[in-house]
Amino acid sequence: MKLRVQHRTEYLYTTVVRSNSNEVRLQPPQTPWQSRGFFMLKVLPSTRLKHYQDFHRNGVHHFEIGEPHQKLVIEAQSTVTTGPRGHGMTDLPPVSFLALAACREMDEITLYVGHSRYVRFSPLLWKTALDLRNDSDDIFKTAQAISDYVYDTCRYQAGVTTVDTTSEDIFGGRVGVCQDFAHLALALCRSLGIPARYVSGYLYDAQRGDLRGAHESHAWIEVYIPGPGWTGFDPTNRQRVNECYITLATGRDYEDAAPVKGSYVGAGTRIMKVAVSVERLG
Amino acid sequence: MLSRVADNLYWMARFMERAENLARLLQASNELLLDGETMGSRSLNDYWDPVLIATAMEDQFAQLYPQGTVADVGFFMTLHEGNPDAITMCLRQARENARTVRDQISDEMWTELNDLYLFITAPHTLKLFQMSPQSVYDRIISGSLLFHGITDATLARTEGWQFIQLGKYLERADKTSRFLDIRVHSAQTGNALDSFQWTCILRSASAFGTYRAEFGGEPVAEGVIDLLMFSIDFPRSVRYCIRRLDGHLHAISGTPAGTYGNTAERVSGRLLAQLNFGCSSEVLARGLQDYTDDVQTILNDIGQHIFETYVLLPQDQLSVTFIPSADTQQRRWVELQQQQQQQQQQQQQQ
Amino acid sequence: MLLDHYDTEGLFDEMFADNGAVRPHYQMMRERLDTLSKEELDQKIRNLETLFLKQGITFTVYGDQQGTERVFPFDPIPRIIPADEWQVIEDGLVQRITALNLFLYDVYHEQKILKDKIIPEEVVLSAAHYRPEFKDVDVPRDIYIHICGTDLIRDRDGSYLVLEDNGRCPSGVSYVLENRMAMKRVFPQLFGSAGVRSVDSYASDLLGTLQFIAPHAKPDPVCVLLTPGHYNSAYFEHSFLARQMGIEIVEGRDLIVVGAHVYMRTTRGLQQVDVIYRRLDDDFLDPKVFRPDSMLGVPGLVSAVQAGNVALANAIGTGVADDKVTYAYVEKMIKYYLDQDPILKQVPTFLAWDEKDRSYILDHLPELVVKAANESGGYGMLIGPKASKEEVEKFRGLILANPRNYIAQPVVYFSRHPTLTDGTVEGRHVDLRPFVLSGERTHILPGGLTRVALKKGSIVVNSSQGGGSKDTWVLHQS
Repeated sequence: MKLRVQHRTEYLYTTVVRSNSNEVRLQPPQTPWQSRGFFMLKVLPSTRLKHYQDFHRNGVHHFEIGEPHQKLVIEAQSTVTTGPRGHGMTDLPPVSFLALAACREMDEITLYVGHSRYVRFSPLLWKTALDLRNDSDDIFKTAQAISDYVYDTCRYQAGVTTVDTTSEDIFGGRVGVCQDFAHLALALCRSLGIPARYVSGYLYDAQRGDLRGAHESHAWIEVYIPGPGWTGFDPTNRQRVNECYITLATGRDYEDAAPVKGSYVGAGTRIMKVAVSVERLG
Repeated sequence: MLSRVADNLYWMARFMERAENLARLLQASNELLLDGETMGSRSLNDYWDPVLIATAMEDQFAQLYPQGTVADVGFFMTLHEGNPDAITMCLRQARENARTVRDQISDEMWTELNDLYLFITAPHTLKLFQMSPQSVYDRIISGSLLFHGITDATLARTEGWQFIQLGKYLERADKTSRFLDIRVHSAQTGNALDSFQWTCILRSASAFGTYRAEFGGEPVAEGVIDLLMFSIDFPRSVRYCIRRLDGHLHAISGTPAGTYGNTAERVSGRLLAQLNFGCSSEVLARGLQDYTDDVQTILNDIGQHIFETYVLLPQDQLSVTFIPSADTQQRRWVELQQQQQQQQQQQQQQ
Repeated sequence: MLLDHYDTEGLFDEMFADNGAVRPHYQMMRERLDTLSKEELDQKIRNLETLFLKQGITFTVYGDQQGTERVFPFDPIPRIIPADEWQVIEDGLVQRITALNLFLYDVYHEQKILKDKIIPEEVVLSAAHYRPEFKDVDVPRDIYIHICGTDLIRDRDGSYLVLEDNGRCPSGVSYVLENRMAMKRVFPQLFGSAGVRSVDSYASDLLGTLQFIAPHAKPDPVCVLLTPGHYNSAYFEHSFLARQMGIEIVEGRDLIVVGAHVYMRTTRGLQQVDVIYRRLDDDFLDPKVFRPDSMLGVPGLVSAVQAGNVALANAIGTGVADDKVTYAYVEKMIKYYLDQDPILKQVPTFLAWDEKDRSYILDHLPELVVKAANESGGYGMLIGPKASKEEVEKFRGLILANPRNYIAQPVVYFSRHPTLTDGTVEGRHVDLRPFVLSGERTHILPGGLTRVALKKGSIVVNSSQGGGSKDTWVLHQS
C-alpha cells in the first residue's frame, strides 16, 4: 500500500523566544515491511538541518534556532510503501515464555524489559497482568489479551492527560490517548517479562473513518516474540498492526520516540497546532 | 465588473459598429459612383469629398495623395494603415479591445471578430479589394452583423452585455446622424441635394427599402429625415438607438425609467424626449446641419458621462495621471505602454 | 514509413535506445506513427495551426512594431515520460523548490546561510534582484515562490539535470494545456489507451494556491491576475488562466492603493483585492519604489504588501533565487536546509565572480557557454563552440567589466526527440519545463512544456528564437 504522509507541527509563542533547540523523529525508517520513497523535512524559520541515528536506530533530525522568533513550523512529508508484516495477520503459533530466557541477553531486547520514564509497574499492575495471562504459556495470546484489556477498560479522551502522564497514572485513571494506552500496555507486558517497545507513527484509516489516531500522530506497541520477532498491537484500536501502519520511531517509551522534542528560552506560553494527513496513492 | 473591462467592451462594440457603418457609407458611395460614371457630367469628387470631410481626414489624404483619385479614397478609407479611421484600423481597435477582455466574451464572439480581422489584413484581401471593393464591404458588413448576432445569442445578459449595447447604439446613432448631414457639404458648394443623393444616404443606413415601403416614390428631405431621425421602429434611426441606449443605461444603474441617477441618464433622457416629439419640418426650419451638429454634441456628452460615471473614479477626476483607454487622443500613451509591455517580455520570457 | 530512416546519430534519444530499439514506453506511439503517412500528419498539423490562429493561441514577437502574432509551432509527436522517471523528477522538484523557498526566507530574515559562509554574502547581496526593502518583511505562509517553472535537460546518459530555475514569472503553462487539447484531436484513440495523466487540475490547483496565501488566512479571498497588458507576449496565457480560474484579469491601472489596501476599480466602485497573481516583474510593480517610469504598476503596492494587506504570487524579490550565480549554490542549499543530497543534479557552473573560476573561464571561452546572470529567454548568452572570434572577444570584455554578472558552463547535452520536419521525421533537441505550485502542499503538474529546437542541431528552444513545443505525456504507474 502506497501512502503519502504530511505532518505539520506549528508552535506559536506568546512572547519572543530564542535558543530553540529541537530533535525530531519524523523520518520513516526502511524496514522489511516498509519502504520509504520520498522524504523531506522543512523547518521555518529556515535553519541548518542535521541528522543522525540514535541508540534505537531512529533517524533523528536536529536543528537550533538561536535568533529571536515567535513561530516555529516543522513540516515532514513522506511517501511510504507498506507491505504485510512478516508474520501475516493470522494468529501466530504458540511460543512459550521459556523461549524468552534464551534471548534475554540480546542487545535488541535488554532495553525493553525494565522500567523506563513513563513505563512503571507496581505490584498491583503486575497482578492484573498475571490475571490477563491466565496461566497461558503463549506470549502472543497474552500480549493480545493485554492489548484488548487496555482497550476494553480505558476511555479514549483527549485533554485529560499530559506529556507527563505515566503508565501508573493511567492504570489508576483509565482515561487517556494513544500514548497512554501504549504506556499501560507496555507496563503490563514488561511486568510479565515480555520485551515490549513503544512505536510512534501514523495510521491510515482505509474504510472505517472512525479509527483513533488516524488524523494525528499515533502510537502503539510491539512485543518481542522469539521466532517471529517484533509483533505489533494497537491497544487504542483493539487490533493487530497491519499494512495501514507506518512506523516512525521506536523506543522504550514516548521519551525515546517522541516525534518532536525541544527546548527554548523564553517566558510566556506556547500554542501547538498539529495536522497529520495520510492518504493513499494510486 | 472592472471599469476597464466595461470600457473595453463598450469600445469593442463601438469600433465594430464604426467599421460596419463606414463600410456601408463607402459601399453606397461606390454604387453612386458607378451610376455617376454613366452620367459622366458630374465631378466625381463631389461624392467622395464629403466622406473625407465627415471623418476629418481630408488633410492627411491630401498629404498622402496629392494627385488623389477616386480609387485612392476608397483604399485610404478602407485599408490604409496610416489612416487611423480606416476600416482596417477600426477592426484592429475592436479586436485589441476584445483581446484585452477575451475572458469576458464568448469564444464564438472572439472567433468571429478575429476571423474578420484576419480577413481584412490578409494579403489576398488587397487583391480582392482592387478587383471588387463591394465584396470586401459585404464581408465586413455581414461580419459585423454576425458578430452582433453571436453576441446576442451567446452572451449572458450581464453588465458586460449592457456595455456592449451602449457602445453599439451610441455609435450607430452618431453615424446615422452623420450620414444625414454628410451631403450637406456638397450642397453648400452649390449643388442642390437631389433625390440621387438622398438615395445614397438611405443606402448608407440600409434604409432604402424601408423608405420605399413607408413613403413610396423618390426620396425627399422630409421623408428621409423622418425615417432616419425620428422613426420609432427603424433599427438604425437615431430615435430608436437612443431609446435603446436609454434602456441599457437604466438597466445598468437600476434607476427606474423616466428618472435619472447620473448625468449620462439625464442627458440621454432629454435627447430621447426631444426626438420623441420632434419632426422633420422643425429640423428643416432650423437647418439640417445645425440640428445634426447639436445631436452629435449631445451624443458625445453622453459618451463622456458614461465614461465619468463608470470608468473614471472620483479619485481619478482629481488627479491627472490617469489617462483613459479609449479613443485616438491617447495613442501616445498607448505606445509608451506598449513599449514597456514589450520590455517586460524580454525579461520575462524564460 | 516515417521513422524508417531515423538516425539517432549516437545522441541520447527519447524514443530510441542506443541500439536502435524503440523504448518500451514509446512502443504504442511508434506503431501509431507507422500507420500514418507524412501527408496525413502534415494535414493534421495544418488543421491545428488554423485552429490555434483562429482561437488566438499566439505569442507576440518582440521587436516587431506591429506586434505580429504567431502561433507557437506545435509538433504532433508527443514526448512520453514513464511513471518511474517522472517520480524522480517530481521528488527532485519538490526538494529543490522547498530549499529555494527556505533560502528566500533566510536571505530576507536571519541570513544564516550567509553567516555560516555556505554562500558568500556578496553573491546574494549584490544580486540584481535582491530587494533589501523586503528584509524582515513576512510574507503570508512564508512562501516566496508559489509558481515555478524549472527547466530540465537530459544528460548523455539520460539523467535529468536542472538547467534553470524560473522563480519570477515563469510562462508557458497555457501551452501545456492547449497542446493537450490539440493532441486529443490528433491522436484520439492512442491518447485514450496510452494511460496519460491528466493536466486538467492545474487551474484549480493554482487557484487553491492563491487562496491559501490570502493575508490573515481570510476565507473566500478576492484573487486577481495582474498582467502587463495585452501587448505582452504571454497575454494569451494570462487571459487563459484568469478565465480558467474564474478570477479577474487586471492591469496596473485597474488597481489603486488607498490606506495600504489594494482595490480594483469596478463599475460599482472600489473592491478590495487580497491576492495578486502577478505576471509583471518586480521592477515594474510599483513606480514609487522600483522603476519610477513604470506605467504598468500600481503606485503604493509595495507599501500594501509590507503592511501585510495583500499577498503577491510570486513574492517580491524571488529573483535572487533564480539568479544564475545563485544557481551554482542550490545543491549546497539543499544540503544546508534539508540535510539531503540533491535528487536532481545540475550543470557544473563556473563563476566569473570567483577569481580562480574566472581565469578558467577566460582561458576556455571557446568551449564554454557563458550566460548573463540576470537575463533570460536566451538573451545575453555566448555559445562558445558556435561563436565567432569577435563574439568571444566581446564576451571577454563583458566578463572583465562586470564579473558578477556572468557565469559559464560546459556545453550541455540536450536529448533529442523525433520531430516532424519538412521532409520527414528527424531528431531535434528538447528540454522540459515542468510547473511547480507551492501552497498548502507542493503540486507538480504531471506533464509540462517540452520545448523543441526546430532548427537542426540547435539547442535554442525559446519560442522567440525558433523553438516549438510538444505535448508531454506522463504515464500512469502501470
